[in-house]
Amino acid sequence: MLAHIVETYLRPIWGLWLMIFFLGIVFYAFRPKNKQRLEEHGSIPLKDDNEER
Amino acid sequence: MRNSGWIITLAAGALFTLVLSGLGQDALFRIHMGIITVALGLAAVVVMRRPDEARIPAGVVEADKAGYFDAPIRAGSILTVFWGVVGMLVGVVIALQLAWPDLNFGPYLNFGRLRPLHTSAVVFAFGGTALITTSFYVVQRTSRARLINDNLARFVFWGYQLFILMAATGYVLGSTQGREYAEPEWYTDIWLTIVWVAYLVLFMGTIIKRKEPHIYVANWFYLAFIVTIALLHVVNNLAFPASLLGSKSYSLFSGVQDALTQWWYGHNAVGFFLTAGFLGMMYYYLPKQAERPVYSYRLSIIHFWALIFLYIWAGPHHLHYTALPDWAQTLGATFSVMLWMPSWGGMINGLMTLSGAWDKLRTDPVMRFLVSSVAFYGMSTFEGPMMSIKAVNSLSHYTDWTIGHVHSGALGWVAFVSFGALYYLVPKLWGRKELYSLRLVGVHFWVATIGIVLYITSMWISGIMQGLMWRAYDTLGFLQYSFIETVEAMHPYYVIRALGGLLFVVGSLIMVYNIYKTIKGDVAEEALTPATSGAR
Repeated sequence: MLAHIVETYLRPIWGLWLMIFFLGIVFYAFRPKNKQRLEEHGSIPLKDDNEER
Repeated sequence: MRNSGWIITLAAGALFTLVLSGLGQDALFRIHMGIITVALGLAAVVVMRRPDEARIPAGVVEADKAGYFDAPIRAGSILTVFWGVVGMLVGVVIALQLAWPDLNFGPYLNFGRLRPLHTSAVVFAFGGTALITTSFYVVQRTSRARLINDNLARFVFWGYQLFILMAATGYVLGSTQGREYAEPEWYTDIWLTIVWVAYLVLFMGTIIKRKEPHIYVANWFYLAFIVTIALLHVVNNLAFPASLLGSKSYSLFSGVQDALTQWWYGHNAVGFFLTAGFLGMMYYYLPKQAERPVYSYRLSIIHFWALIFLYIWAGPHHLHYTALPDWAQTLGATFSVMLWMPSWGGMINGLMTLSGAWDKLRTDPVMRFLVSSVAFYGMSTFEGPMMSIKAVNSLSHYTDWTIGHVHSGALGWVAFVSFGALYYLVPKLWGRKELYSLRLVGVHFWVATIGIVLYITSMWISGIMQGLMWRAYDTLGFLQYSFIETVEAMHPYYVIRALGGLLFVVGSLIMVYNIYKTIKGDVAEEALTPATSGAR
């Protein structure tokens, strides 16, 4: 069953599936709602200054 | 006795390779195993005598036991510098051999044996040690967790050093699979596989037990580097040894499949070893040195996924106009051109991190290294896709242009970002307030930059000239130049290239001195007086 799905639907147009997956990531990353939360991750390396060791 | 487990393991390993050396089917295997026996024996003695930690302030050593595990990172910082100088020196030697062929001393010091020694020493010894070292540092800091197991970390770090030793001695002895950047023979490959799986377990394990809820983007890049290199290394080195006690093996692939597998591997060594891994470095050390978060974290997510999706398909551009099917060549070129976007997205992300703080470029030479590395990353990732276009490739392929392109990436991007990271790391790791001399960092920067410029401009001229001479016809339709005429025409550029490489080595030696003094705890006089104004 799984092999059938892979052979019939996934393999012939894998490029399209990967593209859709990638566009999903772009949508997720640039969704205005996620902006603040994601940008806060940028300061992770800077937070360890106070507690170095 | 302390470390008795390690001493027994090393001694047992030495005994095992000694037996292999005795049973070996060919002279090469016997000598190679003998060298490894000596190396393991020496390592056992060194561990027994306990490495001298006197120079490290007691507080730092104590902190190691309680907090992050930094001992292999300290060893790694020193070895990165060491391998860098060795690899670059061999590079100068082979550059001189190309300019003056009389400098070939056979069989051990022929160009054919020293060239893989150079490429592996700079890529896998210098670059690989830099990546393992910084990944240990970054994953602990950004996960706020200690590496899962001290002994596993020691095994990964020193096991990788043993791999370097096996590969390097193998090349000089003449043990090779003849696959570019994957020259080591089957037994060396198996050893690297074991070490690499341990590396993956160590890195993943540390991420899994992290205290920081989010996995910082640098770790994504490091993880992609580790996973992909495992895949590439295993597949490209699938081979059947002629004897389990011999140094010769035969690849499972043949013909055009062999060529494609090799360049799928070869280009992704560039993409995931020399790019993804070092991008992990950039995403940690650039924000740290600039003391500000990366320009756009969301862009870094796109940068990561676009790079992952595209890079793996770019390999066929190494096989333009060969027996590889035409559609595969076009596919490789298309994906290479598409790579422009993530590469430049990443470059913009790195450079814009400095927006509003560009004055740091003037006052902080370490920042200069990091920012220039990103600029070189942008430049060589513009040049690369351009060269992968078939029409351009018909001129550039097999010429020195390719060599110039590789070095703008390797010296400008990989080495510079590593130098920046080292200058950041060393004072921190040895508990020093600052580097011995920032002025010397500035001198290093300019000497190395002039070296790179001499290198890549001479290779551009030489390569394009070479390509044009190869395709020049006279009025009767005969080739206008014989091959040796093109070689003769390139001589002056080979001399300039060697000079550029030499400058780069001189710069690295300045760094050796600076780092040595920093570790010793010295501070140059110039650093003690506050800078009055202007650039240092």
